[in-house]
Amino acid sequence: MMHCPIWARACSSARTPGVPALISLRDARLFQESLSANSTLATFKDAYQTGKFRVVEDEDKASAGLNSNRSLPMLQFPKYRIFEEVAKDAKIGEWRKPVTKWARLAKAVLKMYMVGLKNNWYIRKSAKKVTTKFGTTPEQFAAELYKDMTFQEIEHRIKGLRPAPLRINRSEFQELHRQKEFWKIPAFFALYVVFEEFLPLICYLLPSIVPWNCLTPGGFKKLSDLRVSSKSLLPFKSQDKLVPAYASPYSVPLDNVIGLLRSHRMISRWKAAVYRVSGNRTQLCELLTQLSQNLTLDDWFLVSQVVNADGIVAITDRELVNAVLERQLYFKGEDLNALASTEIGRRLLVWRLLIYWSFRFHGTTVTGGPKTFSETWGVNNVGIMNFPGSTQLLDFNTLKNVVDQCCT
Amino acid sequence: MRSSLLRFEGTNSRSSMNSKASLCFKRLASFKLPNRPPFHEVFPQKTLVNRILFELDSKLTFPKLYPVYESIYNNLGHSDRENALPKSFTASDVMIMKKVLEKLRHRTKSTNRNFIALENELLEKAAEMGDNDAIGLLAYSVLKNPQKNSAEDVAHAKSLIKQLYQMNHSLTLKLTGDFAWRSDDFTNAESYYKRFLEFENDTFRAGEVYGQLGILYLRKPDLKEAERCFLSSISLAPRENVVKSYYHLAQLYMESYPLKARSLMESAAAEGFKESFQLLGFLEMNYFQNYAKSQQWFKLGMELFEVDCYIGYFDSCVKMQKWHLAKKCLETMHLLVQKNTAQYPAYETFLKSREDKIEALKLHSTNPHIEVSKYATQMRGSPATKRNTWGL
Repeated sequence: MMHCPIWARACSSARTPGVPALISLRDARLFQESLSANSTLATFKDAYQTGKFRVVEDEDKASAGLNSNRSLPMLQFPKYRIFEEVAKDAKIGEWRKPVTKWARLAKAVLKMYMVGLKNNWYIRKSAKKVTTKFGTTPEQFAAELYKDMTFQEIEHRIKGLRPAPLRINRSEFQELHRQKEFWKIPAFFALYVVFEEFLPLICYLLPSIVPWNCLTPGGFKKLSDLRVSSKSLLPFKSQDKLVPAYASPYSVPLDNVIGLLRSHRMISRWKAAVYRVSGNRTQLCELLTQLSQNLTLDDWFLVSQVVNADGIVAITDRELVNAVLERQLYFKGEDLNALASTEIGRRLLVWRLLIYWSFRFHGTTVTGGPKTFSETWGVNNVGIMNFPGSTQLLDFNTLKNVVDQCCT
Repeated sequence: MRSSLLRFEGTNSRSSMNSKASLCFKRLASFKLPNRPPFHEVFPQKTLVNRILFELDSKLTFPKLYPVYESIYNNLGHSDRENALPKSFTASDVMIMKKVLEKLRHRTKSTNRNFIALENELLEKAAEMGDNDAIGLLAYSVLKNPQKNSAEDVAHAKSLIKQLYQMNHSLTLKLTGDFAWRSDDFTNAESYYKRFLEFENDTFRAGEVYGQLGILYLRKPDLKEAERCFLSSISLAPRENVVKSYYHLAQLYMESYPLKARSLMESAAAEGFKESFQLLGFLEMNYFQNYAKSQQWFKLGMELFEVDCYIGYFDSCVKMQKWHLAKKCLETMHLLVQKNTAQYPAYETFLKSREDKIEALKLHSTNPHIEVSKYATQMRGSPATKRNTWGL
């Protein structure tokens, strides 16, 4: 046989891949040791400290092609802002102010829904343009992109090159993924016709019917609490090892697969029931593979920017919240929107992401390492899916260990 | 062996090449094949031959071909006897007859030396009748082994190839590419293959060339281009001709589309591509978690003495808690490594990495019959030699 650069490496049980060590948060000294051992973490720390990587509120100040604010929900409900504006407005008579406050709030909410629905339409249109250009469905195209990424990793490892952009940028990739929300519009519109002014109340009670970018912070909080409850189904939770061992999507119990897919809005309730009854495990496992690949691809987009971009890399606070939500890097009951609205909370969320990336991508080609992602972790390893990268998830108590090290 | 001396007396022009070309093949040595079985006993069934003829898009039929085959077969080794080819037969018909035998060889994955001789005879006849494909093939067979042919033959073969090349004869372009490939001249091989595809890009042969180009792109590496070539290759050529394309494409998809990779690898395994057995075994065991199926693949590999397959089989037995089979596998590996010390490093790594499993095996067996440390000390004194290798 001819020798090729592609080796049948990934599936051989004869070799155990060398994986990065966990990042310790127990005290400042141990974190310092992790910084010395994990050069990727050090790179991220420098980037965040120097402002090369930052979080911004305004999308205009964010990096182009990296964010898609229009497909994400608002962080703060405008109630207090509107009430305060009305209260301070001298032109409005005191007797009129309570009514005006609620009228303006209702107007703002309606406007938010209108803008959200319009944005959904634009997202759908731009996603359609991408899929037409490449002649595939969004799901197939995501898989194609993942394949491109793996090809590029192999080529660049051999040629010693830096990561190059893929066929589309992160913003397009995310919109391709988020355009599914478009299909909620007919049901949403039908509800509006039937219930009219009670729609906001219905949306509050049943936030899952609302298109993602029309969610209010209250609805988002409910959904985020629901999603984090599926954390116990993640494969690394059922392992008794510090560093998660390799787990293929086919090794995850079927109930856990369905639970994870449901919580990540990858499959509808009835479809899951049909697959369960028919015993079609392959389809479900393939969807879990798709979920894992999408998350890895999104990580790759962000990490390659932070590590390799020459200028400033800025993501919006909405994208930060969404990234933390998708990776389940939060505790049940935590209000991600509220956290992202404060300086210290934002710092906490950013560090959670940085630690998560440092663990996953240390030693891989995207951060200048010698191995591809699959060589480091194995093919479609769901064992590390949404694993925080440290023994415990960073919280306000342990954040000071991290911040201390960054300030010294 | 029989060697042929090519005598090409044609002109340089394309038209005269086909019509006026005449070749004279002097058999320097001929031999009689003792105990050659009767033709009707060895020739395959009508259905199979007809199917191949259909695939080759030939107007010829089995009843028409059978007597011709038989006549040439019976006259093999008798240079004095004249083979009777029907007058209606053209050079391309003779080449079709040759291709039928070639396809039979690929499909049945067996070679019959009498049929090889028959194929050669047909090839020579087609060349004599002026078929450029046949001339190209014969000329390259001379160039492949220049030391076995006279300087005059080699020079003549070269001149023939030159003329065919100037005519942009597609098979010659492919053969030139193959020749450059064998000489590790991959840049030229690529350019010849690309040139071939300019003239012929939708045939079986183009499928084979796409496969070769795919491997060239893998070496660079330009994986997207390699993928495109492999996809073209498997869409154009039958599986038995481009089994490597299936195998390499499966390797390319291993990380992004394991399901597709498995299907492609199974196609390669169905053609008996031995490297695919262990990969399929590991894929089934570690990714799809189908231990029973993985065992079957490993078993096939073990029959070919693939050490990785033994390791995989051992692992799958342990996972399925079939301790007696795991023990048996370990013993067989032990014996194999004793006979072939070249495999010792792999075996040692295996023993080290599976220490816990081997310990567990001891618990489940009263006589595990493993003297790992003793064996290791013995082996350190006797390094692997070339003579001990299996030569697989």
